[in-house]
Amino acid sequence: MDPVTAVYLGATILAGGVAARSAHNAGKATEIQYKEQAKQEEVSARDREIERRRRLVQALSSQNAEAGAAGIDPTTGSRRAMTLEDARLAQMDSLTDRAMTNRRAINLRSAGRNARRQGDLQAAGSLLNTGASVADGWPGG
Amino acid sequence: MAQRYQRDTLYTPQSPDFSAANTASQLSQALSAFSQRSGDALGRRSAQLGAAEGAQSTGTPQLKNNFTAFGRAYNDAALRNYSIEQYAEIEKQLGRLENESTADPDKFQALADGVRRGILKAAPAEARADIVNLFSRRMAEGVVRLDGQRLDERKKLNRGMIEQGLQTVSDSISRKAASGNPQLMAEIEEDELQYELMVQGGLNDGTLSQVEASVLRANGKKRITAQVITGLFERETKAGNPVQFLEKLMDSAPEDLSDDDKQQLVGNLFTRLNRRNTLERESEQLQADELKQRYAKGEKHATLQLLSGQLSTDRIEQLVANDYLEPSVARTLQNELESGGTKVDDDRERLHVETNLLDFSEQDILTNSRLSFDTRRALIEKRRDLATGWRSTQQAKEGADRIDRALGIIPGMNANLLSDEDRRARDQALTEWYDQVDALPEGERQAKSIELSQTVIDRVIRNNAGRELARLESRLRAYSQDKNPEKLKGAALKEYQETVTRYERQIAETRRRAAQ
Repeated sequence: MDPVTAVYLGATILAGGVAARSAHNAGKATEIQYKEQAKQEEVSARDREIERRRRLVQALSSQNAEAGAAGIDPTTGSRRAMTLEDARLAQMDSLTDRAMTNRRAINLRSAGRNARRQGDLQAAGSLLNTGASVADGWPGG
Repeated sequence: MAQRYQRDTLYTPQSPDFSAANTASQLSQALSAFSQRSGDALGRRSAQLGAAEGAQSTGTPQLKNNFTAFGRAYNDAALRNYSIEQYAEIEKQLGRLENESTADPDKFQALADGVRRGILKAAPAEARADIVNLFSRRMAEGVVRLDGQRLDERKKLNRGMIEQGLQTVSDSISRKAASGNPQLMAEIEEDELQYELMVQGGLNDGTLSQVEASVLRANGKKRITAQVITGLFERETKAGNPVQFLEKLMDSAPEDLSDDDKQQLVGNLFTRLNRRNTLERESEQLQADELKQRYAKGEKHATLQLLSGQLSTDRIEQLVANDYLEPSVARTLQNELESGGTKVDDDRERLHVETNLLDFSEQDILTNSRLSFDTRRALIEKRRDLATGWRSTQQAKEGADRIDRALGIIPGMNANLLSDEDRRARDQALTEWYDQVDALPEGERQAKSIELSQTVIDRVIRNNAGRELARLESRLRAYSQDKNPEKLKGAALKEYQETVTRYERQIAETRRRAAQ
């Protein structure tokens, strides 16, 4: 094999190999990012739940204090209805947020897997292209 | 107022950070593109190598796999080479077949088909289409060419036949026109009609073009006119004045002949006239030569008869009447006959002739006026004896030549061309040699003739050397007489010494020869 052909051959194989590796890495990095984002969503949802409970307790405490000052039983009448309404709304928000968070986390993880597969496929395609080029250009037939 | 529960605000999720992935992806794309380009370059390089290697292929190619650029390029180049080789082979084979099938396209096609099958059988499948294409084209060219040849040959043949026929008819017309016979001349019109019909026939079957037909008509008329004039000229040459005829021809303007044609015809007639004159002169010369020979023979015969005493006046008259004797010679012979042959010999001449008898022909002796008839007759008889004796042998000739060489004479040189001194020396030496040989028994003469000639030569050389010695000594004496070496100096002394030395050396050499 002459030196020029050897250089072309080496460059093709090396570039093809590195391109495949980079494509694989790109897919893997994307997946990691998606997974990380999903975890972040879950942590953020817990923080929002705590904040939601804090707001509900604060509202209920305020209502108890006002009823006590007015000498009203907070567990009867319109006071009771108001307390139940706030508790129901807080429950609804919690359920909604939990459902949305789960869905987002699932989507993000799924996108990560897809991205990794896409990177792997791209790497395989790159390797195949390189192999075909090398086979086509292999000196001596 | 009691505080109420505050509901969730709208949550907007953050986007993931893809910067690292994008970087890797871009790197991958860039390297993929590079790999693609590098692979293309590798393919082109391999194709170049394959083409170069394929170009080296000869004969039926060993084709490679078409999967690689190298293989494809190799196969293309090898097949191209193969096709070129096959084209050359086809050209060679079909050229040969074309030559073999002169003007026969059917034969060519049959032979070419056989060649085609053979070539295709040996060819790789990938090259067959090209070869068939090449072959068909070349074969079609050959067929067209051979068809053309056949057509040309047919035309040539037809044309030759027409021209031959036309020439026959035109010859007939000329003969009749030149004959002067009214009956024959009346037939000319019929011949002319036949001539025209033949030309018309050539025109109709395409053998002749209009232009060619016109040329043939014109040439026919020219030829007839020229032949008629030639015929008349021949008649004039035999009985008439051919030069006057030519003058008239030059002055006239015959129909159908251009000025150039007329000049050429006149030139031809002149050539004809000159040739005839030359032949006549040759014939006269031959007759003169023959008469000369007859005269020579008659003169010899008459002289012999005169010498033997048989010649008479009547016989001389008869020889003259039959052209065997020239009148002047006859008168001389008659005078000699009347004088009776009483002339006296010249002794010196007689000695010379007698000793060199074989060097003289009988004719020389017969016409030698310094000898009498009796002597001539006797010498001729003696010469005839000698001619059959030892003196006529090769040994005798060699002996005589040696004697000549010893005397410084060119061997066999005619005696008449020699100086008196040489002639005398030769005669003396030969006489001495003849006497010595004749003294031997008859059977030994031929064998010993050369040996005895050597003896004579030795003596002659000795004598010559003796004479030369005396001459040299005399010259040395004369040279030294008025010179005193003691008085000489320088160049004069040197010259004197060299001259004396040279003479002394020559004297010593000559003395040695004389003593042998």
